[in-house]
Amino acid sequence: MGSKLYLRCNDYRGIPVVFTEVQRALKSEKHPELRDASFVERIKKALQSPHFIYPDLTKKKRFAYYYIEYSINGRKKYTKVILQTQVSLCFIVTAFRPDYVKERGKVTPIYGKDEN
Amino acid sequence: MEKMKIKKGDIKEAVEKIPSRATKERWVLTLDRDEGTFYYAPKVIPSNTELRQITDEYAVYFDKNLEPKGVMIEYYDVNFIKHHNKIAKISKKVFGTGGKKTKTVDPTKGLKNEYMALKTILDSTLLDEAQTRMIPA
Repeated sequence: MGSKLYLRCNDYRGIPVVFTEVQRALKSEKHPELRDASFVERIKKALQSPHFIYPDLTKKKRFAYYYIEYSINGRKKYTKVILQTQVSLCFIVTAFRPDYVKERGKVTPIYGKDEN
Repeated sequence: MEKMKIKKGDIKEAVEKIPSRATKERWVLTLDRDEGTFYYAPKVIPSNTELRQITDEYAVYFDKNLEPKGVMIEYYDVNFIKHHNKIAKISKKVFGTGGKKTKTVDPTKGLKNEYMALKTILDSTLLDEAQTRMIPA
């Protein structure tokens, strides 16, 4: 039986992306952003118009999509969406709003420019 | 949540509250192996909190009063414990190695000694690194 979907949309390449309700609820315990109903629109924005994308530092076929939300005192706030890719479908692992890019300087973005 | 304007000194003071808040609010230790992330936080991190990176190693969820509400360490196994040998040893005892499942250590439900050992060294590491390696506010 299929899992109920919290979000289904296409990413910037037109590849379908899904975020199951089970996964959202699970990850929302440690990422309170995922309990904010309006955050889903930020997730969509990050998927459809990412400013840059890094490969995950450990897992193959896993990527971090970043969307720059705003900057305060020179410090940027991002929406970060972790995506696991399959053949023709991607799954959202989690999403949150960091003010730092953990992958910066460790790997090269596969899409866009990460200008600090 | 409102965008917070924060000074570096304020952040250091806020980070110093972590050990006592963790004890008072009964934070648990969670290693989410699927995500690769470690959390030192309440079982559920409260809403209306905002994530702020303290050093290259860890970030903290703060509420609007700059009270710490949970610590997050991304790339825990592949990065953090690689250069924190003491934590790596205790962490191995607490969480084991390998596997894909999320494991949570709640001292009220067992492993109290292991929890306290990891909490103690984690508290001092977080505070030390906030003093010496804090990223610009």
